[in-house]
Order: sequence, then C-alpha cells, then structure tokens
Amino acid sequence: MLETANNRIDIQALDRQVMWEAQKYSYLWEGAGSLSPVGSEVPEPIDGNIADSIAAAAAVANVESPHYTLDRYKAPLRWLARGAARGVLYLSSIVTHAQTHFNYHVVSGLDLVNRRFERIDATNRLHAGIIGWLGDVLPRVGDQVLAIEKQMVAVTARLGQMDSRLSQADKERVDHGQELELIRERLPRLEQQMNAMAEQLAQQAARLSLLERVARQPQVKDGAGAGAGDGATPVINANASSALDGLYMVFEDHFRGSREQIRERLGEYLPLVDNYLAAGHEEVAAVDLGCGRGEWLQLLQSRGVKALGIDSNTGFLGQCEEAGLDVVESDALEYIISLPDESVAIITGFHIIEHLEFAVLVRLVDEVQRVLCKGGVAIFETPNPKNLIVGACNFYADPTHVRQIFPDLLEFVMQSRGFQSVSLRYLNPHPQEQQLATEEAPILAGQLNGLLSCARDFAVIAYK
Amino acid sequence: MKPIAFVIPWYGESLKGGAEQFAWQFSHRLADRGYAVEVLTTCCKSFLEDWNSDHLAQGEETIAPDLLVRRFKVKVRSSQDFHGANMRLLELSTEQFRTAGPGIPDRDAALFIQENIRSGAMNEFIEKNHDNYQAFIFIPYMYGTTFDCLPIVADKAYLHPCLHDEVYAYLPQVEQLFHSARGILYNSSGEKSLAEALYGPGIHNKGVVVGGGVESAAEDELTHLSSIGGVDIAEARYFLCLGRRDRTKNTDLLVQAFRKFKLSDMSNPIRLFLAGPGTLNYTDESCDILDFGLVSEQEKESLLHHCLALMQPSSNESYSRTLMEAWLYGKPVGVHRHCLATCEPVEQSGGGWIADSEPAWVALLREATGTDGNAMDAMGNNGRMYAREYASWDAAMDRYEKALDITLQPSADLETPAGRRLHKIVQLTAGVTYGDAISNQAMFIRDHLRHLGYVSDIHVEVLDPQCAAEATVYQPGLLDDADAVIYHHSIGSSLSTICAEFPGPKALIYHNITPAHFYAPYDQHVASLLEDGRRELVAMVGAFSCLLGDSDYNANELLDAGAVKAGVLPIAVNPDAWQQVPCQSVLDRFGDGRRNILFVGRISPNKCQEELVLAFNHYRVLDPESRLLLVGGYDPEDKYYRQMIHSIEALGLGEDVHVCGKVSQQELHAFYRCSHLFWSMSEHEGFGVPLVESMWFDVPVMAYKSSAVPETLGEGGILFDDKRNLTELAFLASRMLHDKLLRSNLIAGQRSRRLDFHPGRVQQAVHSLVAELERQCEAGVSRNAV
Repeated sequence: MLETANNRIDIQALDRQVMWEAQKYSYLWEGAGSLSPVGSEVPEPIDGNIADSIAAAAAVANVESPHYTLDRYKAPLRWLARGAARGVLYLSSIVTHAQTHFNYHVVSGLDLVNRRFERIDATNRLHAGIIGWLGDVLPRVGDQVLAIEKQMVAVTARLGQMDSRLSQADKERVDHGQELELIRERLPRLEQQMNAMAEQLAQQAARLSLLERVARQPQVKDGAGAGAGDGATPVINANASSALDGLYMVFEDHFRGSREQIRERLGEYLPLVDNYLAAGHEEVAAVDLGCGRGEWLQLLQSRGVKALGIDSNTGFLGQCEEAGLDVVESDALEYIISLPDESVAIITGFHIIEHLEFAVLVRLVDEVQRVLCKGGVAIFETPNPKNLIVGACNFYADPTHVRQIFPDLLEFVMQSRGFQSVSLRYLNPHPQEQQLATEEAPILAGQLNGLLSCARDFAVIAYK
Repeated sequence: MKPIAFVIPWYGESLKGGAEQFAWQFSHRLADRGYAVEVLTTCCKSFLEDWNSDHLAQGEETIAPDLLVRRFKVKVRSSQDFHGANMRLLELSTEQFRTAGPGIPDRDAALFIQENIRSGAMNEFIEKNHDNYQAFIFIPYMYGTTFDCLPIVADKAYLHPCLHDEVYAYLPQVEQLFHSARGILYNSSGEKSLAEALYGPGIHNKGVVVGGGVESAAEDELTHLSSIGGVDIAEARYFLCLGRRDRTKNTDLLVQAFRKFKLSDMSNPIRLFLAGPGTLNYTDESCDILDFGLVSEQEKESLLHHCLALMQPSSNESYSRTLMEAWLYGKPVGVHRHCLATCEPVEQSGGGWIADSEPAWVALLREATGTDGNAMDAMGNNGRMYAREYASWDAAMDRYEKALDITLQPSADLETPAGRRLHKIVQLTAGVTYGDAISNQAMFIRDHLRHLGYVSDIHVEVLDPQCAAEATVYQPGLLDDADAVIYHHSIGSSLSTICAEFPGPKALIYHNITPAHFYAPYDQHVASLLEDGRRELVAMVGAFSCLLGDSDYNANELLDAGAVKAGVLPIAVNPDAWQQVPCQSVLDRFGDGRRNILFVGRISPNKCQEELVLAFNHYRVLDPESRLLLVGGYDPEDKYYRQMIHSIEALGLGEDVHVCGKVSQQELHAFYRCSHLFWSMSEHEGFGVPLVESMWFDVPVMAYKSSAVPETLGEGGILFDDKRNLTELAFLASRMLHDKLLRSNLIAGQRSRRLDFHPGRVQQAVHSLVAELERQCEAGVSRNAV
C-alpha cells in the first residue's frame, strides 16, 4: 500500500497501477534469481564451450594431488614410486600449496565471469527481441499514418466540395421556402371555399333525393303520417326540416368520425351477434334505429343477418340505398310501435337516445321489450356523461342532442321494464396522447384522467 | 547613501532586448525614487554592433537627475575566436546538459569568456572605486563585464541574470557567479526555479523574484480598433499569438496543432490570428489562420482587447511580456510546460492552460474552445490579479528596493526573551563529526544562541579532527561558569550523567537511540551500548524538566520513557549549506544520463542498505542502465557492511552499485545533483535529514514507512508499507523515475514541505527552548541554589 500526504497525487490510482504492472510483468523476473537466462535456454558457446574448459581447469587445479598413473609399474616398484611421489609432493607442497589456492581462485573467478557473460547474453537477446518487434511494428505504423494523412487530404477536398454544394442547397431552400410561404397563405382560403362547396353539394344531394322519393312514392301517408299535430304518438324529430338534413350529413362526417372509424367501433358488438347466431336461432331479423350512414347495417350484412335500417334523414337514407342496404324512412318510435310482438331478434340504436326526452325514451324501451324475441338482444350506445369533458362540453357539439343519459339510470330503467341481464359497457376512452401526463403527480393525474379521459361513450346491452 | 551601480555592456533607451530594457527601466525608476544611480557601461552602442568599436564617447553623462552614465572603452579582443566558440556552443543542445553531466568543452567555454565583450578600463575603475558604492547590479549574466567585475565586488554584488535554459547557462564559470553573488534578482519565479535546478538549492535563500513592469493600454480609454486591414476583429472569435514568429518560439508547433484541431472540428468558427515581426507568414485560409505580420502598437492592443485567449507556445523565455499584457486585458493564456517562466505563473494563478507536445496542444485548443464565457472570464481574472502583482512597476520596484537591502536571515521577528538572566548556555553531546546531523544541529543552535546574544559553546566526548574548530573536548570543570546546559542525547555516553547532575536550568534534546535489536546480530558491543542508552533515557527523563525530540516520533519515545511532556525541536536544514560549486569529478562520473538512485546514510543495519541493494537488483531488470549510489560512512570491518558487500558481489552488481563512503560537502552536493530518485528502506530514523536535503534538490523520495520518516516527509515523497514485494517496488521506482507528471507533482509537494525545516522556521522552536531555560532560571533552578 502506498501513502502520501501530497494531495496533488492520486495515490490509490498509483497503487493500483503499480500492482497491476507488477502482476502483468512478473514474468520478467522468472529465472532472474538464478543465473540462467530468461527463457531457460542453454547459452550458446562463443568459442568452444567455456564451461567445459573451466570444468577441465578445475579438475586439475589441485597441484598437490597426483595426476599421473603408476599402474604400468609392477607392484613393489609401484609402492616405491608412490611413496616417493608422495614424499616429493609433500615437500613441494611448500610451493604448490599457494599455487593450488591460486588456481582455485582463478577458476572460480573465471566461472563468475562466465556466468556474467551468460546473463549479458540473455539480456541482449531480450532487447534484440524487443527491437525486432519494434522494427516490425514501426514501419507499419508509419504506413498507417501516411495512409491516414492521405485520407485526410481527400476528406478535406470532399468537405470543400460539400461546402459549396451545401451553400447551393441552402440558397435553393430559401427560394423554396418563400414559395411555400405563398402557398401556405392561400391554403386556408381554398379550404374554406371547398367546405362551403361541399356543404352546398350535400344540400343539393339531399334535395335531389327528396325529390326522387317524392316522385317514386304514390301517396304520402296522409292520416297516420301527419304526425306533427298528433299528440298520441310523439315523434322524435319534431322540428327536423329536410333543409337541415344536408347540414347534418356534413356534420356527421365532420364530428362523428369517418365511416371506417365508426365501423371499427361498432365492430365491438359483433361478438354479441355472433353469440346469438351461434345459439342456433333461425330467421334472425335485426332492426337498427337511427341507422345513419349504415355502418352497422353493413356489419350485419357481412354476418348474413337480415337487417333493416330506420332513419328520418333523407340524405342518409339515400346513401344507404345506394349502398344496397334496406332502409325505411320513418320516425324510430313510430316504426317500433308498428311492429308485432317478438318479431325482431336484434334491436340496436347507436347514438339515438340522447336525442329523446325521458318520457319518450321510456316509451321506446317498453316497445323494444315487446318487439324483441325471446332471448333477443337490445343495444343502445350513447355519450357517457361520466366523462366530464363529454358531459360538460362535447355533448353540445351536436345541436340535436336533447339530454344526456346517466348510465346507471338507463340500466335501472331497462331492468325495471323487464329486461334480463342488463349490463353496461364503457367504450372509447381518450387516446393516450390526449390524457394527462402522470409523471409529475401520478395520483392526481390518475384521478383526473378518470374523470376527463375515461370512456366517452357507454352502451347498455340487455336481453329479453 | 552611496550610489548604486548598474553594470551592463550596452545602455540606451531604444535598445532592443529584454536585459537592456530592464536595465533602462530599473535604473531610471530607482533614480526616480530618489536613489543615486550610476550606470557603468561600454562605449559600444548595442548588441548588434561590432563589439570592438567604441561608437559613443567615453566619460560621464548625466541623463537624468540622480542618474549618471559612465562609459568605458571596450577592450579589443579576437571576435573571430569568440564567434567560433559561440557557434560551436550554439550547436550543442541543452538536452545533453540536463543531466548535470559532462558539460561544455573547456576550450570553447574559456574562449567564450575570454573573448567576450569587456572593458579593461571598467575593471580598473571598479577595483579602485568600489568602496564608493553601496551595491553593484550586474545584468545580464553572460557578458564579460559580469564575468570580470562581479568577483571583484562579490560581497555587494547582485546578479540580475535574465536566465534562459540556453547553452551559456551551463558554463561552469556561470555557476560560480551565482554562488559568489550576494543576491540574485529574478524576473519571474520560473527563472528562479530554473536557476535552482541548474545550480542547486544553495542559491535559494539569496534569490528574490522581482518581476518587471508591463505598460498596458488595457485600463486606458484607448479606442480599440474593430477591424484591421479589412478583417473584422471585434466580432471574430479567435486565439491570438503575439511576438516574433520563428521556430525557436515554437510558432510552428502552435500552427500545426491548430490545424489538427480544426480538422477534427470543422464546424467550429474559431480562428487563429498571429501578429509580430518575423519573415515567415503563416496565413492559411482553409484552416482559419490569419497572420497579420508586423502591426502597430494600437493594432496590437486592439487584437488583445478582442481576442478570446492568448497562446504563448515559446519554451525559451525568462519573462513573458505578452503573457502579462494578455492578463492585464483579462484574457486567459495557453503556455508551454517546458518554459518555467510562463508555466509557473499560470500554475500559480490558474489563469490559463499548459501543454507540451503537439497532441497536448491540440487538446489544449479543444479545451479552450469548449470553455464557456464565465470560466474564461474567471481564468482571465486570476491572471489579471497575478499580473497586477508581478507586472506592475510599482510592485516590482518595491521588491527591488527590498532585495537590495536583503540580509537573507529569516525574517521572523526575534523575540528576545524578556528579562534575560542567563549569560552562558552550553551544549553537550557525545561527539561532533563532520557531516553528522546532530553535530550540525548543535552548531545551528549554538550559532543562533550567539546571535541572540548568549555565550555558547559545544563540549563533546569525542571530537572529529575535521571539526576541531567547532567544539572542545569536555574537561571536568568546564561547566563551572555555565548558566544553562543543553544536552543532546543519542547514545550511551559518560556526559549524560554529568548533565543530569547539573543543577542549573537544563534541557535534553533526544535524537533517538536506534533500537538494539537491529545491531544484535552484527555487533554485540554496539547493541549493548544502545541498550544502555535506552535505559539511561528513562533515568534522564526524570532528571530533566525540559525534554525535546527532533520529531513527534522521538517526543513520543520520551513520553513512553516516562516524560510528562515533551516538545519538538526539528532539525534545521539550511539550503545555504550548498553554496559551493559541486564536485566535478562526481558529476562527470555519474551525470551521464543513466538513472541514479541515491541513498544517503551511514551503512547500518537499521538503515537496511543491504535490502536496498536487493531491491535495486530487482529494479535493474526494468532498467539495466540504472545505478545505485550509497553515500555514507562505514567501518570496513563492520559485519553488516561486509554482508552488504557480499550481496553486491554475489549478485554481480559491482559495476552498478557504488558504495561511496563518507564524502565531502562538495561531493555530496554533486551526488544530489545527479540523482533522480532517493530510495529509503530504512526501518529506523530519528529524523532523516537526507530526506529533507533531497527535497531541496528536487529529487523525489520513496521511503519505507517507519519511525519518523512519514513525519519528516510530510506532504513530500511517497511511502510504502510493504518492503517485501520487490516487483511492486520496482514498478513504483520506475514510475517515479519516468512519469513526468508524477514527478512534477511530487516535487511541488516537496518544495512546500522543505520550507518547514528552514532555519527561519526552526528558530521559533529554539526561542521557545531558550524561554523555557530562562523560565527555569527564574523559577529558582539556579546552579547556586542549595
């Protein structure tokens, strides 16, 4: 562990660095304690084998011991010779003793020198290896640097070109921008003109179909149809004039949504139809009160159900007829009243009941209950006042809306008028992007969303 | 007061050149302040003219009230020889001198000095009349006038060297000038650092950073131009580079770095503007570089006013005027790390950025571009405050005046103890030997006591003949007329009982006794002496009421031995001890570029030199060219010494480990100068004077953490607590030798710590000691009390 009181130095980083290097490069010291070279190779002799020479010298360094052999002499002479030799050696040891010591010192000195050289060789080899590696790497690095420099030159040239192109493009963009501005200014006016024309067209179309109808039907229902003055059968659209039909058609397109959207939403109810069909009923008849543009009728048609649409808006009726749907022009309540008991399996009314006074609604519920077959289903969808935005604001977008229906009230009415398994379904909440963001105050946002972004419509589904 | 004389070869208002400008300014301003000033100069007109010609009239001329100029005829000399020698000198690169190694060829050095510009007449005049002058200021350092005349009046000579890191600075004769002068006046702290790096810490105490003055239009209501030559400078965002543009000023380096920076960040609108004299033009539209060439004063001021920052890449300045000018405008600056004169002010003030190599400069430019307005203003402001201090003529002149009166004794007020009763204070210590820390400390204390007015001597049991003048051998009865005694205790000695029995006021300074266990395996006799010493300590502690240690470590041992309280009197380490030219043979032998690792200390078991040898052997694998220098006395018969020698031989390190023995002060100076790392494996130090000495020579220290070593090192050096992992130690040493940033950080810390042991600071502790003795006297602890 390293320490310092010098706060200019990050001592812990230094400590880690040193430890890491020590571990990584510890191999450099392997074999360095002993005198064998790194890599444990046997050193090559420079000129002959020095080690052998030294060993040989060491072998005869001792001047005082006999090196010759007396074996060739016969026995008694041998002993004599040996004795004499020993005597001579003993006497001469006065001189040779020092010589022996000298020899030994010289030999060991040479040995040390030899070892020294071995170590130097090892180091040199290590260095040579490193230099060799450097020699390999450096030219490559140099080449790479050159290549990069060349690229840089090219890149700079390209950049210059791109610069000029960019400034050209800029200029053009400015010009285009100006043109766009002019166009933009004119667009709103064009839109307005188009809208006006569309409205006029729609009205013309309504007038035309009314005329056609009048031309086709021999009599108008004089007695029963005069409706307006007859107090017994209240009619729904008491003050609807055909002139407004055209406006209403355009309104539908504008506010309610496109046909495709409505068809998609109404597809919600198809499972109910499928269930009914799957139960094996035959001769399934369906009536859609206030069929409007006929989206539900089309869906029923796709399921092979005989469906009849009732509406009082001539324009819509014309459209439906052109689409090959069965429709009847009539006031909804009047028509239901005219039907026999238990004659229809599926009765639907999408966004009609909010156009009725309460008394009329109750009457309609009773009649529907009478007309439905056993096990038949009635579906009424209407705006959900529990969504405050709908209830306080959007509801009034349609000038023909009369009153909002409180969901639980409708459920209660249906139940008390004899329907079985009455259920409410809440539909069509605001999409995510229109809801309040929940990051900052999740609880509050959640509560507010519950009031403002919840289901915009609800439907009551009741069985007989 | 007698006049002050400036000595310079050329003198005139319009002369170009830093030294000439300084001479003009300082001489005039001193005269303005009311001093009598004379200028001794030659009849030669300027540096650029023929030095053998007398252009101006000889004689006296009063050019301002209180300002008299004396011109002397030049001595004709061989300009051919001079130019030849000069050319050869200029071809040498200063890199090779950085190792304080074999220097300039003697012949060329001698020629350069002999054939330099000088005036025989001036020399004679000064020899005859120097008594009539208060002081002499020699400016700059490398001309004959300085070489000849400074030694004549050395005791009142002040050198204003204008030193750069150039070849001439490495002339041995120049080093001698620095040591001889009474005081040295520097233009910048970087110049002072350079001088100390070149000539050792001996000149530290007598050097003063004076600074200079820079006239700037920053504060004026000058209308700054908003465009120059059709180029809008008020709205442009640019870095500015001012001054002569050529390779020696590193302009190339800056331009290249700027190009590279631009290539990496082409969308950045920042530009580089250059201005100043010079033949090369660096304009390069594609990289937004614009070179204005030579501009007028007003244009220069305008460029400074509108720029974002100034870039000063030169590594060869003793004082950068443009740096100060930029700072007075509140602009941050970018400078070169190798130029101490610009780098130190930036480091000290935080007024800019520092870089060295080209990639570092690219990074600097990138950082400067990325700095937001507030940070830039803050840095510029830091610089402005520094410039106001060091680039203002008033501040500079104040410092100049003070410098000329300097005594260089530490300025701590001497609290002469009130109610002085003592007259003679005597010190006793076991022995005084040459180069021994305890001996030096005793001498320091004695000198200071005498300075305070006491009679003071040192008595010893054993006296080194080399120090015969400093102390006397104790004889019975020598204490008879002493009023108070200070005893230095470090080893068993007969003097200890004598001191313990002294009835008068006394103090014990404990210099630590090496624990006996270190010596037990090697020398039983010494071990038992040490044990005796320890036992004595316990007895001594009881006998003295005033107990001091060199360090907290020692003081704690006193407390462990039974003391009630113990103070600290650190050992004073005075850089003035190095006021000599270092031993050249040591420098020649070891200052050759190979890395030198140093340890200073007596060869002894507690200092663990043998372990250091083993560690060095391990380190050698990383750097086979390195050396270990072991400086310190030894006994050839000593067992530990022989063991160490055996290790050295067995490892085959005879060529690389140098056991130098006891050395002279000059040799020691040279050893410190050519060493790159101080490595201590010592397990016991009472203080560790060589640690502090290393700090004075800017030699980084790595030491085993033991005894008083951490305390002495303070914020200097690096400590390790595990001495067995030799591989890690080897890598640490390698880092400390090769990592430049680490080294500079270490040296910065060491430079701060070493001042804590400056005699000026230690004196306070001596005063406290004296006060305590006086107090004891007052309390009736008198030798005459019964």
